[in-house]
Amino acid sequence: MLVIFTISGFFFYQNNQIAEIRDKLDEGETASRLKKFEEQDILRVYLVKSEGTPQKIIQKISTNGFVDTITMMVTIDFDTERIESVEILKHTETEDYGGYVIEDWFLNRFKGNEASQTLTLVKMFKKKTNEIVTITGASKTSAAVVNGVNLSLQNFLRIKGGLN
Amino acid sequence: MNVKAKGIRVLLLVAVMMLVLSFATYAEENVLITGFNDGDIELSVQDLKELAAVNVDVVSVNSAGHEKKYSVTGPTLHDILTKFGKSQKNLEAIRLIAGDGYSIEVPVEVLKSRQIILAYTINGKPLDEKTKPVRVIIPEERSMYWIRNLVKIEIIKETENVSINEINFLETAIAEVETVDYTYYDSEDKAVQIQTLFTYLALEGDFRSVSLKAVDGLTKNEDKGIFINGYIKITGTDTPLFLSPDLPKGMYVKHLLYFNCGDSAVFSLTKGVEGLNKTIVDEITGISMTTLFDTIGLIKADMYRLTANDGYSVDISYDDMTKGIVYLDDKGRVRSYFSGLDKSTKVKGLLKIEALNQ
Repeated sequence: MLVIFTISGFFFYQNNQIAEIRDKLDEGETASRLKKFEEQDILRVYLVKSEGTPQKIIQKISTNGFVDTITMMVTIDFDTERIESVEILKHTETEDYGGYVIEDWFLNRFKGNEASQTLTLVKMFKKKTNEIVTITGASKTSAAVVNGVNLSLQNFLRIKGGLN
Repeated sequence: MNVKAKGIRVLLLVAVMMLVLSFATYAEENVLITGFNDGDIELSVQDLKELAAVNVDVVSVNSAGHEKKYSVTGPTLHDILTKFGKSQKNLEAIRLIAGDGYSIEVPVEVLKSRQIILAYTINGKPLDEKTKPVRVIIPEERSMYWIRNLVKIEIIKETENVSINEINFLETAIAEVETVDYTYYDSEDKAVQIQTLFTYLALEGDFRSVSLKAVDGLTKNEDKGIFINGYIKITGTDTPLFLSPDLPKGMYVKHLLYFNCGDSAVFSLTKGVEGLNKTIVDEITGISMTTLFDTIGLIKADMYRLTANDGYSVDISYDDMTKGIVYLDDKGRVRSYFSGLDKSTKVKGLLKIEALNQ
């Protein structure tokens, strides 16, 4: 009885972990956790495959915002090595300031950036492809997200090097 | 049992030490008052707690009109200054400065009529990390004065009360100067560097602060250095908007109607048309010269000179000026029109109106 309970508990836990990225999987894609690439602020790392071929790496990252911790999900395309999406899962930033961190117009600034290029935060407008313009009046929150994404980019390169 | 009791005692000791340490750190954070001839005053939170405190319920209203209610406790600036033999009512202006760089000048009208509280508890609780050592509360004033994390109060001895001799038109000036890209939230907008604007309009002068007025009536004094290093955003929402990527958002001024620096003013006719009484002269709608002069406080003179951006200028008497309007044409250019006066007084691309024969 105990064995059955333990095994079913284990599978429930595993499924629950995968559930958080289920909406990011396309038809026929499967995901598995890469625990060895997880560390303090890299909470989860998932490798998404289709017919045995790696498609993308999804990472759940924790970073220190202006008010408190920001948790986000960064998806990077395995082949093109470009950011596919950045999504904010949880934050407690001030509504009129860092609260804009969840807005698509800010998160879309990360899309398409290459994993090999470290992102830098700029204040007024971007001149280079790897620059991210800060949210007006919320430079600390913006910096937190950029730091989190950079962490995921470095880890992605490590993962890719480890898998190839 | 002995080991358990010992463990509990150690835990209690650690907890007490942490509590003492946190109180000590809190008390060590000081507020500095500078600008008095007989030296600066430095006060710790503990010093403030030893003064008589007021406990009041207040409502803050921000620029968007949102209200928040608080119950605050702390001494008043009046009581603090009295302790050091000084009086709030004798001050011309003060600048409140926060640890994150936010600063705001409190004008004489507020100093003479309002209670300024340095609150060390809000809603019965000690202040959080980002708010302590104290938060300024000025009941019945807008929340732009209610600054958190107050670290310094600068006493400003003299306020500038100079006459305005000239009005420059923002729309004409910005069409002549270089613009820069400015990303504002989700919008890719254009802005002008205020330094560039000052250079173009030759606004250099011996003045300490700039007075800004928004179309909704908000008035604010800004330090000249801070203002000159900022930008005026000219496209997109909230324009004309004084802002800077280096300033906290609370220091931005939206929908700027005009700003005064020294004896010059820079006026946004676009905002004037939105917020001031309009006048129709010979089927042309604009702002009357008298409304413009009263709004800005331009001095009365026998003659006024109107100058265009191409250098053309015309002198017009005070009596004739009262028959005139300024308006924006269909291309957004500033123009003057005077009923019954000849064509030479119709200035296209009006840049400046100066008072002559003072």
